[in-house]
Amino acid sequence: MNKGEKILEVKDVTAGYGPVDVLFDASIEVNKGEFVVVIGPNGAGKTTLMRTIDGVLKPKKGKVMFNGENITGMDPSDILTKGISYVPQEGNIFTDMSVMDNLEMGAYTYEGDIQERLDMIFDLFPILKERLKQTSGNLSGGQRQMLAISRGIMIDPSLLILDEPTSGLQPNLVTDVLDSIVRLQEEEDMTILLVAQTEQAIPAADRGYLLRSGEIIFEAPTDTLLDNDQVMNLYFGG
Amino acid sequence: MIAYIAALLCMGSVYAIITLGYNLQWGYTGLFNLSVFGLAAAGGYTSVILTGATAGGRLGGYGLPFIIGLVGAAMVSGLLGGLIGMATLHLEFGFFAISTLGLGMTIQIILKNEQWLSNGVWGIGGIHKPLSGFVGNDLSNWVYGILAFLIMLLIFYLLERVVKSPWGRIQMAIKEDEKLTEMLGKKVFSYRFQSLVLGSMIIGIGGAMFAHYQGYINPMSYTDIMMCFLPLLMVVAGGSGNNKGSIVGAFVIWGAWSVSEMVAGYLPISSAKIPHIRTLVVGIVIISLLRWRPTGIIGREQAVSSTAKNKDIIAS
Amino acid sequence: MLGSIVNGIILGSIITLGGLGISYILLIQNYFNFTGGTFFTLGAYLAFAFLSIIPMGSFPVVSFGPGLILALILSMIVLAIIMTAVDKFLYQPLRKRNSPFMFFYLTAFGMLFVLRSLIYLIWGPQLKNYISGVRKTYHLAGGINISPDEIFVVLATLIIVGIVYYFQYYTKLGKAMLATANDSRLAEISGIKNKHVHTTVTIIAGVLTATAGVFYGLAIQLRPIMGFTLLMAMFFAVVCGGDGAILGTLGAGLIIGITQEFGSEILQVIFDSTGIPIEMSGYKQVLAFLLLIVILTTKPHGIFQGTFLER
Repeated sequence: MNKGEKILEVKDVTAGYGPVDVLFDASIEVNKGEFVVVIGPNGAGKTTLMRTIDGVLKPKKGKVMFNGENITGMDPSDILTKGISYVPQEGNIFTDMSVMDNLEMGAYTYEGDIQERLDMIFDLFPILKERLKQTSGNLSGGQRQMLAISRGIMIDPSLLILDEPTSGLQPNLVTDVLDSIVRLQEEEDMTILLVAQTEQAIPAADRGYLLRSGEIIFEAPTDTLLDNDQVMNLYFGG
Repeated sequence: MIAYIAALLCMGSVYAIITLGYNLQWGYTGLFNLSVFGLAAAGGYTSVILTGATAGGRLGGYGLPFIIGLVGAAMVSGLLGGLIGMATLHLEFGFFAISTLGLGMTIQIILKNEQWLSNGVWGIGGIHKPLSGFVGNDLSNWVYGILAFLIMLLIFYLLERVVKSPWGRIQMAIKEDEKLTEMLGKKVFSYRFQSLVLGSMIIGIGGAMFAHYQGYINPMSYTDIMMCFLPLLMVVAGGSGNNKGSIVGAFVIWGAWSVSEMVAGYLPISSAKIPHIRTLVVGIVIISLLRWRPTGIIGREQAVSSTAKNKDIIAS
Repeated sequence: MLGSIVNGIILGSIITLGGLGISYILLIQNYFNFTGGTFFTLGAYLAFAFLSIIPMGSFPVVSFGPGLILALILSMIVLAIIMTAVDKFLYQPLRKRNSPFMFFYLTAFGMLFVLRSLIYLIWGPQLKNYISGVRKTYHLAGGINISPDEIFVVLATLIIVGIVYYFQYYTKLGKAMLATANDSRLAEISGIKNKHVHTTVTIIAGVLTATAGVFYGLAIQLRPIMGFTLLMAMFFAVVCGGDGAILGTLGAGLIIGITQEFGSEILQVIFDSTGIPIEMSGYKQVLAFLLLIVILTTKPHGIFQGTFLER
């Protein structure tokens, strides 16, 4: 498969919790090697969309295609083996376990050389190497996010889904984390799908979707996304 | 046959009282109290000690009226329920359940060991049945049955008023809605505590009524099967949180239980095995209900969900 | 006096194994398994049934032979299968429906009576023993009577606890169990299937519970309510030891075993000398219950936090 080919295709997905639908006929596409960002206000359905892609939620309507294969309604553990790794916003590390055990659990289904993955991660986030034996619940906010991303990339996924990886971080840490994500895209050929409530992540990405009240209302390359009125409205109150 | 109906009236009413008390705790407030057999035993022994004419070396022989016996039974059982509640009611569901099971076992062990109190495993006989002096032996069961039925109706009437009051509606709300429970904060403890104590008092009265009907009790008169598991089935059969249902459940289940005893007499099974076969059947019935007809067990199923801790994550 | 400490250690070993079975179920499935004590009894009786067709044979030193070991292994297998079947058939539908906790407790409570009545129906109420005839016993100084069988029970328990500890903290599957206990949703996302973890945990619980039952039958005797009378002590070991803490459960198991045997003897001396007419031998279970209440009200998450017994 070449760069630029469609790797993920979400088609007309409607999903929600119990009787309440949160997402309505949402469609997005991600091409191989791309860094795509989905932005939108709180409660827009961003997390619901990611959960539906990863199989945590089963959609009521629509389908999810990955590498040309229909993965709609599969269990998260099976979707993981297809190559999609999901880093949720909350509960994204095993807080009672050590940093090393977290990484090992991230590689639970990985069949390649784990040491290689570890070396790559220690190169990306050197601080984790110093904290290997520490219980991960005691890590600082930034280190937690680094560990969460590292857990997600232990299996060398072809698509990495990140749900608000920079929320609650100090500005300088936000830049660090985003830089690392761009490095994953560029050096590890990973396709990135990132969800964000704030606009900080937009410049790092190639392309973006604006999600509002459960509907995709706008799609554009990031440079034009920032010029869009609706986006401006959303983030700068203009 | 007539004698059987009189006996059914007595035992059905006794079980209906216990089930009403249990239904308040389990059906309305959602407390999984497993000490019912101990509380009933405490009530039974209290009343027997208070009302008995002679004691023969053990505690008792006060010869007090029957009604004082019932009041005493309610007080002692309520006190025991209150004690275990104070210790464990603020803890989570499972801790409360195991603690109450332990309380029930402890009461049974005390009754077995302390001869000065309960005459140990030999039990206490010659328990006086109220009003039986005025009528012949043939009629005493009828008289007692009607008395028990009236007492049961009185408790039912009072409970209906209680559960339809704001107090009762809050109990239901606590059981149904975790969020509200958090909002009420510390008050939840006191509401649960009140339900536990009131229910325990009624169970104690039921245990006392049982003792006066039987005429002889020992610690094994109040086993976990007969006085905890069976009432649980009666609550469930009548639909949890439904007082009328509890009464019907008690009569129907006890009717089936006692008929099965008669039927089993004709079967080629040794009599020692029959109680175990019946327990087996009851256990299978309860488990099957849980498996296939869950809504009958607690009225509605959306009480405290086992994934409740994930709910707020979903909401975000 | 010293003898009762030894008896306490033996009882504590058995409580530890039974407690670990309950602890594992609690860790992963979040409910206290009331049926634990009754599965314990079933495990012991299953071995008894196998011994009626397997020749006992003989080992040097101890009173039992290879037959008992074979019966133990068969009992482990059968109990693990029964417990897995119960889990799949009764508890899995509850998990799928996200049923309230009370459903799990009600089911466990119902199973308790189903199993207890089955045990009575099949084996009857009489006391039974694995070994007919006199057991070998050493009389040591200090009034200690100990049989090689009892030493075997204690040593085997320590070895089993060691194996479980290694499995739990040093193998991938063991860590996957911890991960599921920590956050089952994240575990599923990481490719750890909850279903497999539930099955693994139930099998381990079955093996431990059967072993505990057989050891009780070997060191003491078989009674239909043997497991039920130890239930409070096993719950104490679970709560006091800490959620899923293996060494903690061992420590707490030994504490409660020694308290039941040695502690009750000390209390008896105190009661006798002060004229309180209480016969402690009848109250060993109550002692466990009272300690359980104390732990629940003061330290509901165990007493070993921050020590090496934490895991």
